Amino acid sequence: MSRTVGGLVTEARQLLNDTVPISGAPRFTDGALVAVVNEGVLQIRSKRPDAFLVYGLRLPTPVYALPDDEDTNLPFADMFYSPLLFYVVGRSELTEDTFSDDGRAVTLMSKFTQQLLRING
Amino acid sequence: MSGGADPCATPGALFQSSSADLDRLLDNVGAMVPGLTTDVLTMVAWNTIEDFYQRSTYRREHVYWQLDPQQIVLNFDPYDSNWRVCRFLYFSGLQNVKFIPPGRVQDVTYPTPDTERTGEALLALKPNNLNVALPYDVWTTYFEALMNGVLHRLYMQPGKPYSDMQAAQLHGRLYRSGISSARADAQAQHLREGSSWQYPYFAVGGHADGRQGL
Repeated sequence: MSRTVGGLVTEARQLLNDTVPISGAPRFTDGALVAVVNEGVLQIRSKRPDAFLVYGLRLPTPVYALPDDEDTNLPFADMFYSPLLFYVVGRSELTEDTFSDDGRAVTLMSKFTQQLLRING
Repeated sequence: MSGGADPCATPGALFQSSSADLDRLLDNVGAMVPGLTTDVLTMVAWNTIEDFYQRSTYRREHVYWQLDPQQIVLNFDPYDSNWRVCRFLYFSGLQNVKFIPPGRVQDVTYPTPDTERTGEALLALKPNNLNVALPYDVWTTYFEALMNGVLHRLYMQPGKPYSDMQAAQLHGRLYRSGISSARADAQAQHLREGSSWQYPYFAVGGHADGRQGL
Protein backbone atom coordinates (compact mmCIF):
# COMPACT_ATOMS: atom_id res chain seq x y z
CA MET A 1 0.00 0.00 0.00
CA SER A 2 1.31 3.38 -0.92
CA ARG A 3 1.83 5.80 1.97
CA THR A 4 1.12 8.83 -0.14
CA VAL A 5 -1.37 11.64 0.25
CA GLY A 6 -3.28 10.37 -2.78
CA GLY A 7 -3.28 6.83 -1.43
CA LEU A 8 -4.64 8.02 1.90
CA VAL A 9 -7.47 9.97 0.27
CA THR A 10 -8.35 6.98 -1.91
CA GLU A 11 -8.44 4.64 1.07
CA ALA A 12 -10.47 7.10 3.13
CA ARG A 13 -12.94 7.37 0.29
CA GLN A 14 -13.33 3.58 0.30
CA LEU A 15 -14.05 3.53 4.03
CA LEU A 16 -16.52 6.36 3.56
CA ASN A 17 -18.20 4.34 0.81
CA ASP A 18 -17.77 7.34 -1.41
CA THR A 19 -16.05 5.71 -4.37
CA VAL A 20 -19.04 5.39 -6.66
CA PRO A 21 -20.89 8.66 -7.06
CA ILE A 22 -24.50 8.27 -6.04
CA SER A 23 -25.75 11.35 -7.73
CA GLY A 24 -23.09 11.92 -10.33
CA ALA A 25 -20.66 13.51 -7.87
CA PRO A 26 -18.87 12.07 -4.84
CA ARG A 27 -20.06 13.03 -1.41
CA PHE A 28 -16.67 14.51 -0.55
CA THR A 29 -14.50 16.35 -3.04
CA ASP A 30 -10.76 15.71 -3.17
CA GLY A 31 -10.30 19.23 -1.84
CA ALA A 32 -12.49 18.54 1.17
CA LEU A 33 -10.70 15.28 2.01
CA VAL A 34 -7.21 16.65 1.61
CA ALA A 35 -8.18 19.57 3.86
CA VAL A 36 -9.01 17.00 6.54
CA VAL A 37 -5.70 15.26 5.85
CA ASN A 38 -3.91 18.56 6.49
CA GLU A 39 -5.88 18.98 9.70
CA GLY A 40 -4.91 15.46 10.80
CA VAL A 41 -1.26 16.10 10.03
CA LEU A 42 -1.46 19.14 12.32
CA GLN A 43 -3.02 17.01 15.05
CA ILE A 44 -0.21 14.46 14.77
CA ARG A 45 2.35 17.27 14.81
CA SER A 46 0.78 18.48 18.04
CA LYS A 47 0.34 15.12 19.79
CA ARG A 48 3.40 13.28 18.52
CA PRO A 49 6.13 15.77 17.61
CA ASP A 50 8.57 12.87 17.39
CA ALA A 51 6.83 11.82 14.17
CA PHE A 52 8.33 14.86 12.48
CA LEU A 53 11.89 14.35 13.63
CA VAL A 54 13.22 13.47 10.19
CA TYR A 55 10.96 15.86 8.29
CA GLY A 56 12.16 18.70 10.53
CA LEU A 57 10.70 19.87 13.81
CA ARG A 58 11.44 23.52 13.06
CA LEU A 59 9.96 23.51 9.59
CA PRO A 60 6.39 24.63 8.93
CA THR A 61 3.97 21.73 8.96
CA PRO A 62 3.34 20.65 5.36
CA VAL A 63 0.09 21.58 3.62
CA TYR A 64 -1.02 19.30 0.80
CA ALA A 65 -3.25 19.84 -2.19
CA LEU A 66 -4.63 17.52 -4.82
CA PRO A 67 -3.85 16.65 -7.55
CA ASP A 68 -0.37 18.19 -7.06
CA ASP A 69 0.49 16.03 -4.05
CA GLU A 70 -1.12 12.83 -5.30
CA ASP A 71 2.22 10.97 -5.12
CA THR A 72 3.78 12.91 -2.26
CA ASN A 73 4.86 10.72 0.63
CA LEU A 74 3.48 11.54 4.03
CA PRO A 75 6.11 13.18 6.24
CA PHE A 76 6.25 10.54 8.96
CA ALA A 77 6.81 6.83 9.61
CA ASP A 78 4.25 4.31 8.40
CA MET A 79 2.98 3.70 11.93
CA PHE A 80 1.17 7.05 11.79
CA TYR A 81 -0.67 6.23 8.57
CA SER A 82 -3.41 4.18 10.18
CA PRO A 83 -4.27 6.77 12.88
CA LEU A 84 -4.38 9.46 10.22
CA LEU A 85 -6.71 7.36 8.10
CA PHE A 86 -9.06 6.95 11.06
CA TYR A 87 -8.91 10.69 11.63
CA VAL A 88 -9.75 11.54 8.03
CA VAL A 89 -12.70 9.15 7.93
CA GLY A 90 -13.97 10.13 11.39
CA ARG A 91 -13.59 13.84 10.82
CA SER A 92 -15.35 13.55 7.47
CA GLU A 93 -18.22 11.69 9.08
CA LEU A 94 -18.78 14.72 11.31
CA THR A 95 -20.01 16.60 8.27
CA GLU A 96 -23.71 17.28 8.68
CA ASP A 97 -25.56 15.55 5.86
CA THR A 98 -28.04 12.75 5.18
CA PHE A 99 -25.38 10.02 5.26
CA SER A 100 -23.36 11.11 8.28
CA ASP A 101 -22.93 8.75 11.23
CA ASP A 102 -22.02 10.56 14.45
CA GLY A 103 -21.39 7.37 16.44
CA ARG A 104 -18.91 6.11 13.89
CA ALA A 105 -17.26 9.52 13.77
CA VAL A 106 -16.72 9.60 17.54
CA THR A 107 -15.37 6.06 17.54
CA LEU A 108 -12.87 6.78 14.81
CA MET A 109 -11.74 10.09 16.30
CA SER A 110 -11.17 8.35 19.65
CA LYS A 111 -9.31 5.58 17.88
CA PHE A 112 -7.05 8.19 16.32
CA THR A 113 -6.10 9.64 19.70
CA GLN A 114 -5.70 6.24 21.33
CA GLN A 115 -3.41 4.94 18.62
CA LEU A 116 -1.20 7.96 18.91
CA LEU A 117 -0.95 8.11 22.67
CA ARG A 118 -1.62 4.69 24.14
CA ILE A 119 -0.23 1.22 23.83
CA ASN A 120 -3.60 -0.45 23.65
CA GLY A 121 -5.00 1.88 21.02
CA MET B 1 0.74 -24.31 9.96
CA SER B 2 0.77 -24.41 6.20
CA GLY B 3 3.39 -27.09 5.66
CA GLY B 4 6.51 -24.96 6.16
CA ALA B 5 9.34 -26.08 8.39
CA ASP B 6 8.95 -25.32 12.06
CA PRO B 7 11.26 -22.33 12.65
CA CYS B 8 11.88 -23.55 16.19
CA ALA B 9 13.46 -26.70 14.80
CA THR B 10 15.66 -24.94 12.28
CA PRO B 11 19.05 -23.86 13.60
CA GLY B 12 19.63 -20.18 13.04
CA ALA B 13 16.07 -19.57 11.93
CA LEU B 14 15.12 -17.80 15.11
CA PHE B 15 15.96 -14.16 15.17
CA GLN B 16 18.79 -13.26 17.44
CA SER B 17 20.67 -10.02 17.48
CA SER B 18 24.09 -11.45 18.18
CA SER B 19 26.12 -8.57 16.80
CA ALA B 20 28.18 -6.55 19.23
CA ASP B 21 27.42 -3.13 17.89
CA LEU B 22 24.80 -0.43 17.74
CA ASP B 23 22.38 -2.73 15.90
CA ARG B 24 22.13 -4.93 18.95
CA LEU B 25 21.04 -1.99 21.07
CA LEU B 26 18.56 -0.68 18.50
CA ASP B 27 17.09 -4.14 17.89
CA ASN B 28 16.65 -4.94 21.56
CA VAL B 29 15.01 -1.66 22.48
CA GLY B 30 12.99 -1.42 19.29
CA ALA B 31 11.53 -4.86 19.90
CA MET B 32 10.43 -3.94 23.42
CA VAL B 33 8.89 -0.49 23.11
CA PRO B 34 5.57 -0.17 21.25
CA GLY B 35 4.84 2.96 19.27
CA LEU B 36 8.51 3.95 19.08
CA THR B 37 9.86 5.48 15.88
CA THR B 38 13.30 4.51 14.66
CA ASP B 39 14.31 8.15 14.52
CA VAL B 40 13.55 8.77 18.18
CA LEU B 41 15.25 5.51 19.12
CA THR B 42 18.40 6.52 17.27
CA MET B 43 18.38 9.99 18.82
CA VAL B 44 17.98 8.63 22.33
CA ALA B 45 20.61 5.94 21.74
CA TRP B 46 23.13 8.62 20.84
CA ASN B 47 22.21 10.72 23.88
CA THR B 48 22.74 7.68 26.07
CA ILE B 49 26.07 6.66 24.55
CA GLU B 50 27.47 10.17 24.85
CA ASP B 51 26.22 10.45 28.43
CA PHE B 52 27.66 7.03 29.28
CA TYR B 53 31.13 8.08 28.18
CA GLN B 54 30.91 11.48 29.88
CA ARG B 55 29.76 10.12 33.22
CA SER B 56 31.84 6.97 33.34
CA THR B 57 35.01 8.39 31.76
CA TYR B 58 35.31 4.89 30.41
CA ARG B 59 37.80 5.75 27.69
CA ARG B 60 40.90 7.36 29.13
CA GLU B 61 44.08 8.28 27.31
CA HIS B 62 47.37 9.14 28.95
CA VAL B 63 49.29 11.59 26.79
CA TYR B 64 52.65 13.34 27.00
CA TRP B 65 52.69 16.90 25.82
CA GLN B 66 55.28 19.46 24.83
CA LEU B 67 54.91 23.23 24.69
CA ASP B 68 57.43 25.18 22.63
CA PRO B 69 58.99 28.43 23.91
CA GLN B 70 56.63 31.41 23.78
CA GLN B 71 53.66 29.11 23.22
CA ILE B 72 50.99 29.22 25.89
CA VAL B 73 48.09 27.06 24.67
CA LEU B 74 47.80 23.28 24.55
CA ASN B 75 44.79 21.91 22.74
CA PHE B 76 43.96 18.25 23.19
CA ASP B 77 40.51 18.44 21.61
CA PRO B 78 39.60 16.80 19.31
CA TYR B 79 41.63 13.76 20.23
CA ASP B 80 41.24 12.32 16.72
CA SER B 81 38.65 12.31 13.96
CA ASN B 82 36.22 10.18 16.00
CA TRP B 83 36.87 11.07 19.61
CA ARG B 84 36.68 14.31 21.54
CA VAL B 85 37.97 15.23 24.95
CA CYS B 86 35.26 15.62 27.56
CA ARG B 87 37.40 16.37 30.62
CA PHE B 88 40.82 16.32 32.18
CA LEU B 89 41.40 13.65 34.80
CA TYR B 90 44.98 14.57 35.53
CA PHE B 91 47.46 17.16 34.35
CA SER B 92 51.05 17.94 35.22
CA GLY B 93 53.90 20.06 33.94
CA LEU B 94 52.74 23.65 34.41
CA GLN B 95 52.73 25.76 37.53
CA ASN B 96 50.18 28.40 36.60
CA VAL B 97 47.54 26.88 34.45
CA LYS B 98 44.04 27.62 33.28
CA PHE B 99 41.81 24.82 32.02
CA ILE B 100 39.39 25.71 29.27
CA PRO B 101 36.90 22.87 28.77
CA PRO B 102 36.70 20.54 27.12
CA GLY B 103 40.35 20.09 26.16
CA ARG B 104 42.37 23.28 26.17
CA VAL B 105 45.04 24.30 28.66
CA GLN B 106 46.61 27.72 28.89
CA ASP B 107 49.89 28.53 30.61
CA VAL B 108 49.13 31.78 32.41
CA THR B 109 52.68 32.31 33.67
CA TYR B 110 53.87 35.89 33.21
CA PRO B 111 56.07 36.67 31.42
CA THR B 112 55.55 33.97 28.81
CA PRO B 113 58.30 31.36 29.32
CA ASP B 114 61.17 31.18 26.85
CA THR B 115 61.73 27.55 27.64
CA GLU B 116 60.22 24.32 26.37
CA ARG B 117 57.80 22.75 28.80
CA THR B 118 56.71 19.12 28.96
CA GLY B 119 54.27 17.13 31.02
CA GLU B 120 51.51 14.55 31.09
CA ALA B 121 47.76 14.56 30.94
CA LEU B 122 45.07 11.97 31.45
CA LEU B 123 42.09 12.67 29.23
CA ALA B 124 38.55 11.32 29.30
CA LEU B 125 37.21 10.91 25.77
CA LYS B 126 33.80 10.56 24.20
CA PRO B 127 32.77 9.58 20.66
CA ASN B 128 31.72 12.46 18.45
CA ASN B 129 28.97 10.71 16.53
CA LEU B 130 26.81 7.62 16.49
CA ASN B 131 28.77 5.96 13.70
CA VAL B 132 31.96 5.68 15.73
CA ALA B 133 32.73 2.00 16.24
CA LEU B 134 32.78 1.46 19.98
CA PRO B 135 34.95 -1.31 21.41
CA TYR B 136 33.58 -4.82 21.74
CA ASP B 137 33.92 -4.55 25.50
CA VAL B 138 31.35 -1.74 25.72
CA TRP B 139 28.79 -3.61 23.63
CA THR B 140 29.06 -6.71 25.78
CA THR B 141 30.08 -5.81 29.33
CA TYR B 142 28.02 -2.62 29.40
CA PHE B 143 25.29 -3.54 26.96
CA GLU B 144 22.72 -3.81 29.73
CA ALA B 145 23.73 -0.42 31.09
CA LEU B 146 23.31 1.22 27.70
CA MET B 147 19.98 -0.50 27.12
CA ASN B 148 18.76 0.64 30.54
CA GLY B 149 19.86 4.18 29.73
CA VAL B 150 17.91 4.20 26.47
CA LEU B 151 14.81 2.73 28.10
CA HIS B 152 15.05 5.21 30.95
CA ARG B 153 15.04 8.13 28.54
CA LEU B 154 12.22 6.70 26.45
CA TYR B 155 9.89 5.82 29.32
CA MET B 156 10.44 9.25 30.81
CA GLN B 157 9.01 11.04 27.77
CA PRO B 158 5.53 12.46 28.35
CA GLY B 159 2.53 11.84 26.11
CA LYS B 160 3.83 8.76 24.32
CA PRO B 161 2.33 5.27 24.11
CA TYR B 162 5.40 4.08 25.99
CA SER B 163 5.42 6.73 28.74
CA ASP B 164 5.92 4.94 32.07
CA MET B 165 7.43 6.78 35.01
CA GLN B 166 7.79 3.69 37.18
CA ALA B 167 9.69 1.81 34.53
CA ALA B 168 11.73 4.95 33.84
CA GLN B 169 12.84 5.14 37.46
CA LEU B 170 13.77 1.48 37.54
CA HIS B 171 15.81 1.65 34.34
CA GLY B 172 17.35 4.92 35.51
CA ARG B 173 18.65 3.25 38.64
CA LEU B 174 20.05 0.32 36.67
CA TYR B 175 21.65 2.71 34.18
CA ARG B 176 23.37 4.73 36.89
CA SER B 177 24.55 1.55 38.53
CA GLY B 178 26.04 0.45 35.21
CA ILE B 179 27.81 3.77 34.84
CA SER B 180 29.29 3.45 38.32
CA SER B 181 30.54 0.01 37.45
CA ALA B 182 32.08 1.26 34.21
CA ARG B 183 33.73 4.16 36.01
CA ALA B 184 35.17 1.87 38.67
CA ASP B 185 36.42 -0.43 35.94
CA ALA B 186 38.16 2.45 34.18
CA GLN B 187 39.61 3.72 37.46
CA ALA B 188 41.03 0.26 38.12
CA GLN B 189 42.51 0.34 34.62
CA HIS B 190 40.29 -2.58 33.65
CA LEU B 191 41.87 -4.96 36.09
CA ARG B 192 39.67 -6.96 38.40
CA GLU B 193 41.37 -8.63 41.31
CA GLY B 194 44.59 -7.39 39.70
CA SER B 195 47.62 -5.51 40.92
CA SER B 196 46.79 -2.08 39.54
CA TRP B 197 46.16 -0.62 42.96
CA GLN B 198 47.85 2.19 44.82
CA TYR B 199 47.81 3.15 48.45
CA PRO B 200 45.27 5.91 48.99
CA TYR B 201 46.41 9.41 49.75
CA PHE B 202 45.96 9.20 53.52
CA ALA B 203 48.12 6.08 53.69
CA VAL B 204 51.20 7.46 51.94
CA GLY B 205 52.03 10.14 54.45
CA GLY B 206 50.30 12.95 52.61
CA HIS B 207 52.77 13.08 49.72
CA ALA B 208 50.34 13.75 46.96
CA ASP B 209 51.50 12.84 43.50
CA GLY B 210 48.57 14.55 41.89
CA ARG B 211 46.79 11.40 40.84
CA GLN B 212 44.61 10.78 43.83
CA GLY B 213 41.03 10.18 43.04
CA LEU B 214 41.62 9.26 39.44
